[in-house]
Amino acid sequence: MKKISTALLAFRIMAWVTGVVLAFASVWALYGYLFLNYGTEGGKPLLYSFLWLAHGWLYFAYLIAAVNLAFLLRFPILKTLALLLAGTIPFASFYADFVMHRYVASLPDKTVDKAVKQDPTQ
Amino acid sequence: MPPSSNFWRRAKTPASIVALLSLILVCVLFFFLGKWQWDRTQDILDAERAAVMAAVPVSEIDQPLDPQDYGRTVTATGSFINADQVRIGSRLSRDSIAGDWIVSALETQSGQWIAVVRGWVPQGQLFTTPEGTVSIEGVLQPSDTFYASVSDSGAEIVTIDSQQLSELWDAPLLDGYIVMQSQSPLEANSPESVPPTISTAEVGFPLQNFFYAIQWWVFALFAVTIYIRWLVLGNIKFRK
Repeated sequence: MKKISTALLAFRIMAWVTGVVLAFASVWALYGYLFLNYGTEGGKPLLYSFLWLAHGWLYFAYLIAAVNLAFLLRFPILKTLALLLAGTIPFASFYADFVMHRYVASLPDKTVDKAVKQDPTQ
Repeated sequence: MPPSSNFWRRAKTPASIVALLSLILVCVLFFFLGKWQWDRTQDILDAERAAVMAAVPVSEIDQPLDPQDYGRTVTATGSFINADQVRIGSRLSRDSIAGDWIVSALETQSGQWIAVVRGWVPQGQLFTTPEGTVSIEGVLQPSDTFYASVSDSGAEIVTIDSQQLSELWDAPLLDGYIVMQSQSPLEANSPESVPPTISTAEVGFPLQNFFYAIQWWVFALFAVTIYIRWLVLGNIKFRK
C-alpha cells in the first residue's frame, strides 16, 4: 500500500504542476493568437516559447508518474492511455487526479496488497 | 532483469501482438512528427540566415555596431582615398601564405568613411588604388580587440581598429570594418580578397521547434520502454 500511496502522491504533484502550466500556457496562447499576432513569424515572446518547452518536459515527467501508477494498479492498456492523454488536455489532469484518488480509496486494502505482491519486480 | 521464457510466451499472445503493432504505428508517427519539427527548425534557420545574408547598404546598419550585425554582408558605393591606406603585416591569404593586408578608407557617396580590408598582397609588394567611384560588397567585422596596447604609427599597422584608423586618417570612421569580397569595376593588379574572420551574423535559434523534435523522439522511446515493461509485468489486457 505504501508503494501505491507514494506513486499516487507523485502522480498528484505532476498532475497539478503540468496541469497548471498547461492551463496557463493555453490561456496565454488563446489570448496571443487572438489579440497579439502570435500567428506571424517571430511574433511570439521568448518567455512564451520557454513556457511551452517547460510544459513538454513536465509532461514527460507526468507520463513517468502516470505509467508507474498504472502499472502498480494493474491498469489495462486503454485505461492507461486515457490516463496518459489526460495530461495533454487543459484541466483534464486535475480531473484525472481526482478520479485516481477516489479509485484507490475505493479499493479494499487486501486487493492493493495483492496487486503489489504480484509485481514480479519486487 | 533478464527476459524469461514467460516474457517470450507473453509476447506471442494476440493481445501483445496487437499492442506491438500499435507500438510500431506510434513509433513511426512520432518519428515523423519529430522529423517535421526538425525540418521546421532547419527551415526557420535557413530563412533567418537568408534574411541576414542579404546584402544591405552599410549606411543602414546601426551605429555603433550591434554584435548581431557582425558578419553581415554589406554594400557600399564611393571612392577609395588614395592617400589613406595602410598595410598590416603578417596576415594570411586565402591559401595561408603570409603577406600584407591592405586597408583603405572608403568615402561613400553619402559622405561617410569606413575602413575596408581590400585584400592580401605578397609581402612588400606594391599595389594600385582604384580610381573613381566603385561599388563594393563585403562582410562587416567588429574592430580587432587584441593587441589593444600597441599604438600604430605610419602606414604599417598591427590591428584593424576603426578608432585608431580614425585618428590616423583624421576623419570620423564608421564603427568596425568591411572585409571586401567583390568590387566593381575591379582594377588590374588588385589585392587578392581574403576570407572574413566572422562570416555569419547571429540568428535567433528556434528552440521550441528543436526541443519538440527531440521530445517526439523521446516519447517514441518511452512507448517502447512501456511496452517492454508491460510484457515483463505480464498483464497485457485491453479491457478489464
